Amino acid sequence: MSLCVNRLQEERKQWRKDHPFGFYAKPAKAPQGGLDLMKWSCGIPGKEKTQWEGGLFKLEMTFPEEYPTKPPKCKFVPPLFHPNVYPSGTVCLSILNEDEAWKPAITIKQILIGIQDLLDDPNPDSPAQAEAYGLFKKDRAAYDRKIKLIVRENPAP
Amino acid sequence: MAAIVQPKSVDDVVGLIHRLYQPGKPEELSRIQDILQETQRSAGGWQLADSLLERSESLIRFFGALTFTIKLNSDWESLSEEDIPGLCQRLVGWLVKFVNEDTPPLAVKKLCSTLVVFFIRFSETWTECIRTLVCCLAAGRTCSEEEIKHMPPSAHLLQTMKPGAKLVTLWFSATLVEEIGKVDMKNIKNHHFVGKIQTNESEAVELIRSAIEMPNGAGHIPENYDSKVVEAALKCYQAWVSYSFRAYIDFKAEFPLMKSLMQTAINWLAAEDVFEASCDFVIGVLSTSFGALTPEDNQALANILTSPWAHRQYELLMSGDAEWGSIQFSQLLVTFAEATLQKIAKSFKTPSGRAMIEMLHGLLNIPGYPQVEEEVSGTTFEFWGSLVELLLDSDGDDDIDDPWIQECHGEVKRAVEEFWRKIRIPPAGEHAHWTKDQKDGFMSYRKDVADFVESAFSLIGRDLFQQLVDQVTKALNEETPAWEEIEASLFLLGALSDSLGDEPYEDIFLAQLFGSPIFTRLSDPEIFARLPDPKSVIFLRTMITSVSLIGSYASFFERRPSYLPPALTFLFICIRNPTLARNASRSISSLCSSCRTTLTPELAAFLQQYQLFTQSPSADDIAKERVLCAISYVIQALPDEASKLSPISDLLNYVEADTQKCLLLLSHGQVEAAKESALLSLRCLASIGKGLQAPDDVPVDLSNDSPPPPSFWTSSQGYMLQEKLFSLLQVLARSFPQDTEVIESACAVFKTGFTESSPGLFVFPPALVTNFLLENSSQTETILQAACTLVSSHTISGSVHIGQHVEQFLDFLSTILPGITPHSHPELATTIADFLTRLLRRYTRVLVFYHEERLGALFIFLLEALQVRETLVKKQAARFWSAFISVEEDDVEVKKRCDLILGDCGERLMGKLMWEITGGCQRSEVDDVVEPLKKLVTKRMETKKWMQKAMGQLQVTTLTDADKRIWIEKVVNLRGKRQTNQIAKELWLKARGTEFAYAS
Repeated sequence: MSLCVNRLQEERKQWRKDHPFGFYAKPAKAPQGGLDLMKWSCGIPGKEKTQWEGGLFKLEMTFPEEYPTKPPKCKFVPPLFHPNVYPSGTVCLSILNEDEAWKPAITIKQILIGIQDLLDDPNPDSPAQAEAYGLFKKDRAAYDRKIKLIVRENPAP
Repeated sequence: MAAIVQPKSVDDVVGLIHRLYQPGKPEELSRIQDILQETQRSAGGWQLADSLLERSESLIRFFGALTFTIKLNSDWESLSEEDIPGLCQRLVGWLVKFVNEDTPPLAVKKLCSTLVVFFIRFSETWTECIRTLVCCLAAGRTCSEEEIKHMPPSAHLLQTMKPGAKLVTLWFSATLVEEIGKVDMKNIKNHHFVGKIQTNESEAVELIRSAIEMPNGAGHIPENYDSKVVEAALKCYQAWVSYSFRAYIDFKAEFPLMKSLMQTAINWLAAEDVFEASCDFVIGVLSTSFGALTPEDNQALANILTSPWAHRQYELLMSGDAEWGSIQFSQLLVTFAEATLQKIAKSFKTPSGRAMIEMLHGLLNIPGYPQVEEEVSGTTFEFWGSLVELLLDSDGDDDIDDPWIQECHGEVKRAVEEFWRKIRIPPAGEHAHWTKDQKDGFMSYRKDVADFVESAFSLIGRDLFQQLVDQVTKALNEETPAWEEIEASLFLLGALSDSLGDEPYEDIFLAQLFGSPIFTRLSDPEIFARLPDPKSVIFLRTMITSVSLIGSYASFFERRPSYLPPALTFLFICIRNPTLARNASRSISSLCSSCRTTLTPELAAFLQQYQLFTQSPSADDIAKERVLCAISYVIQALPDEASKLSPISDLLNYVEADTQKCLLLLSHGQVEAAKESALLSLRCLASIGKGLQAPDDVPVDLSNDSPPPPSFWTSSQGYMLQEKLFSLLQVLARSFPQDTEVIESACAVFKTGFTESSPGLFVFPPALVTNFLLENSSQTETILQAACTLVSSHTISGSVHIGQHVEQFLDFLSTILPGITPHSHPELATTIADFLTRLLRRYTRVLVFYHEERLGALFIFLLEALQVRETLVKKQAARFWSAFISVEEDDVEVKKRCDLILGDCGERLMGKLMWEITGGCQRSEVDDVVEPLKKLVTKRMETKKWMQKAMGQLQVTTLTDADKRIWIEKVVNLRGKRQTNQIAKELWLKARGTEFAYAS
């Protein structure tokens, strides 16, 4: 079995044994039936005591054949209004960048918690979309109102 | 408090250590710590360490050992070869002294780890470390190497060794492999450690054996044993098993003696005093070094887990009054089951296999709500999930008909039922006492169960589905239905909606479910009134779950429209309840979208329902927007445009009422509230616009390039309604001309029409939109973003050509450009670059033949935008230039003009690009700025010359002329190929110099 599949099975095992509340992560269904381990559908809840609390944001994690040498691609579906999320929905985060802080030891749980942290703590040094970044920088009050609206539209069950 | 001064004597140091452990101001403590560390690291540190160890106080001795560790780590190179054996003797001597004096564990354990650090540094001079400690501690004094050689074998010495001494030797031996295990074994320099540990294996085995042996035979726990020693021995053994297992995997290094102790170690499970430690031991081995266990070891474990002893533990657990010990037993059971899954799965017919699976089922029947009153059942998800996956993987194998597979199916089905009991919603009183964590934990557990049931569905689909539906319909037949059971079944059915295939049975069971009196009973106010208070929460939860369930099965209703009316009636009742409104509106929206064609006859009823809903003062805003969108879906499905007029008009009237409210509030000076109303009105309009959009699956005619014929919406009645809609937008925008959010929301309404390829109410004439946007040009960025979408939607073939309006926007840009730079207004600059990029598909002519002077200013702005710090501006500008360089144009005149402009800009453009690539930009931006360069190489002959000139003018000290020359050659030879990115990154790195490195 390939290193990639082996590792993903282990990740699935670890997730089933223990995962943080409110999150979910599971392999997507393969078109021909069964599970597609290379593509996971995940949900990230907004962190408590932040303006993201109460929301649940869907994310797709796609693993390359070279995983865990290379990081997975994480994409919010639909794309999320956030300074560090590209218009396509792809998350821009150092631990997800092969050239930056990605390490093969980083687990799916750590990635999801990392992205949850990013929600309320955007990194103004790597903007990925003009809309959210511009508002975040120029008009924090309007930015906050927009986040409130987004949380309302994506409520946790 | 005395001043903190540099210590001059050992007493001073001792004084400081005491102060460090007393309460004090954080800054003082940190100052003391700094001084102590400095003293420890100093040249006199070795001597200080000895002096501290001489003291009798445990804390000071601890500090002495710590000082030795610090010196060994930081200053080991200062020791001469002659010093080393002496140091070893001294450290062992201290350990012997400590043991003889019964020094508390804190200092002794620290000294053990100091000795391990010594071993890591000087393993060549101290190969048989465990033997040394056994001999010295047995003798109660330090022994020379020569003496040790002549002493009796360790097995003999250990027989009479005092428990305290044995304990310390065990601590050392455990720490030894734990720490060596942390050494970086990828480094070839460290490979020798494996051999060093192998050398010590036999001594370690003897040591552990002496602590855990059962002289009266396997399984006979000795009458007198020192539980501390046994616990330390099990811990030590686990460390060795884990180390040797990894060493085998990584280096094929054998540790043949280690395995001989496994069964004895396992047998300690039955000793009550050391149960926790032995349980930890077995769990640790099972989960990290399962391969170290032989089939016999596994059998021994299986025997123990099905023995009368285990049964007692299990009974204790099942009583619901579990103590830590029995919870640990459950962990042991689950870990063993996970590790030996395949074997267990095939052994349900054997007595021990049956006993094992019965206990695993039992864990799902421990009384209490999961994650609140019991935390055991949640630990079994991995076992059950893996079992299902094992069975799914066996699907298609030759042994598919094996009886064990069918037996397993039965067990999975039973587990589903057990989990089904676990996820029931508690009555109100119960729930009220839960903490937030407990509530979250319970809900998270329900989600985990749903995941498990979903995977089980792939295995036992039909039976499972039928069972869940039957549970609902049967329960509904009762006089007082058990709503918590109904809710649990509906919840799980909801989880299966994504998994359904196209099996005929699915619709049959769904028809049974949705044809049952579920909705009439749930909306019966009498039933609700009769419920005792605590049950009302469960009833409400059942309504919520049902509401979501309907939305999840929208496709069923599409196939079987006759089941729609009761479901929709139920949903419209639910939206009036604030707790249910949002969920219900979502399901309404889902149904109306899927079943729009079927629902057209119900439009009048929907409008009436909506009116009833909006009359309630607590009508939820989001629900309002969603229901308006839902009704619009149905209107969209009406066969002709004229018939849409009246229902849309009704919807607009509702929105108009909110707009009136807004104006009224404004006239009373309640600006904030008025703004909320305005935003709500605009969001509602956008929702209607969204609902009226043609569905994605309707084919679009791309061949037709001629302007559309006059439509209903551009003539009399339709036109009037559009005018009304436009005036609503205008009134709202004019009421808040300075408010970005309002203008943005108004733009969002226009955008719903931009994507449409056929005429419609929201598809406004471009002139009207342009005027609206320019009228609100104080919100420059917002209106330009809308203009971007406007241009894009009028770029697709078949759309109207809006060159004239593009020019209006260019005029507008020309008026603002003198007041801004990409540096001063980065966000706006991004939007401007985006707008200009979008012109390059259909409106290139409009752009390049724009007034010469103003055009120059635009292009200079785009050049400047390449060299700002803000990454988004830079990336967008790079995108513009890439698109401009490679613009595809059939019109010769336009093409010529583009070439001319590029010829004028080329040199400056190249100057900017080279500056960025030679370290000016961020590393993550190199890929973006290299794009225009790649395009230039393939399009323009002068590129090489431009590059040479630009490079020549750059002052980058880290790059030589040769570097630059070779690089330019490479770029030219690559002809815009992908590798250009790689060499650009290399140049960037070189230019930045060695100081740059990522933290990883």
